[in-house]
Amino acid sequence: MSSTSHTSPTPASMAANPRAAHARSVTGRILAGEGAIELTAYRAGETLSSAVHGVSRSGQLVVADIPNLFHSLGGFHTADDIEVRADIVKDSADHRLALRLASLHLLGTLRWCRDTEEVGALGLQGQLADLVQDVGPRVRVGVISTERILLHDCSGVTAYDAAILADAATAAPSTDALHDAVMSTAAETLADVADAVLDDILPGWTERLDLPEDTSVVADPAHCVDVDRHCVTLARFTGDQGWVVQVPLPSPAHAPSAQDGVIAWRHLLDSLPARRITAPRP
Amino acid sequence: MTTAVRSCAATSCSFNNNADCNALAITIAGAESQASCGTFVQLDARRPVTSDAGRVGACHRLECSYNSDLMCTAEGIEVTDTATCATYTVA
Repeated sequence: MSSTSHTSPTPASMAANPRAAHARSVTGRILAGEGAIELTAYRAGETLSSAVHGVSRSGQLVVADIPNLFHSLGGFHTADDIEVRADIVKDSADHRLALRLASLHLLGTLRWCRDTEEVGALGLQGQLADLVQDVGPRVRVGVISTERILLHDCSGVTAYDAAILADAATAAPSTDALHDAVMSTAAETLADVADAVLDDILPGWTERLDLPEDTSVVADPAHCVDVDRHCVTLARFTGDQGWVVQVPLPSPAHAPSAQDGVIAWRHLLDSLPARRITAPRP
Repeated sequence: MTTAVRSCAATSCSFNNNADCNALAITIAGAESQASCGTFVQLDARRPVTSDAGRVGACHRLECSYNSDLMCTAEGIEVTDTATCATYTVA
């Protein structure tokens, strides 16, 4: 996979290091609950893949599971601290495309909370708080202590220390409206956006996708694979070639609102040159 | 240093060519105690740490003694017919 940066004209708000800002944002979103977590007690060879995860208000990585509903905790059913590896994988936003977008990896120590008082003291939020409220004390809640968190995405591997958990604890502006706006954009228009980046008309970054010979996994010329407040990530396919294309969104100078991303996306679409006939790239 | 895939016995993989790996670079992942090849499964947007063909692009088994920030430091690995890494060792 090759990497190409197309940087003119860069939105002012992301000029410092836009890719690093995006990677940090994706890391925060994944820690805060996006993606699917799998815990592996690697010394015991046991895996727990039914848990949900998130970050408490105090910046602790928290997991929750409901044992004895569909499964038992197996080797995870212990009062002792457990050495675990946590892998959180995030796949394409467009479910028609089987594409792994990014993953987070860490080694840490899992300790289950002993009672509801201890759970309450964590300051749960988001899906963790909802689960505990809906199910009650049958939910097993645990805290994973870690010192190093690694993001693996289309820009490579980025390492963070545990301080990023505190960042992830702060709620980011919702991107639900932007997500809907991008997902409802026609595949041909998404292809035009991706081509504009590939042709240096729009700023952004591109990565070549390693495609197997069987390309039946691809349904459309372009798919939306992620929507972030910093940028939209697309997958573009022509013939037997594929690219991941990241298109930064200009951020408003004032505090961003839920609609700002949608406005930025519409402006970006309006700035596209007239629809071209797309041909396989050389 | 990047790690070569010395051999791969997963002949049903579309990247396999006479026990050699033709993928640009592979990712070692896998569920449970199996350190298996994740490139076997689906499209992957995650960039490998190397662009050399037939190399371990990244390994998510952080607990493996050969792992350094998702990079494999082994001289070479062998992938079995079930696409698992036979070189994986917990420190």
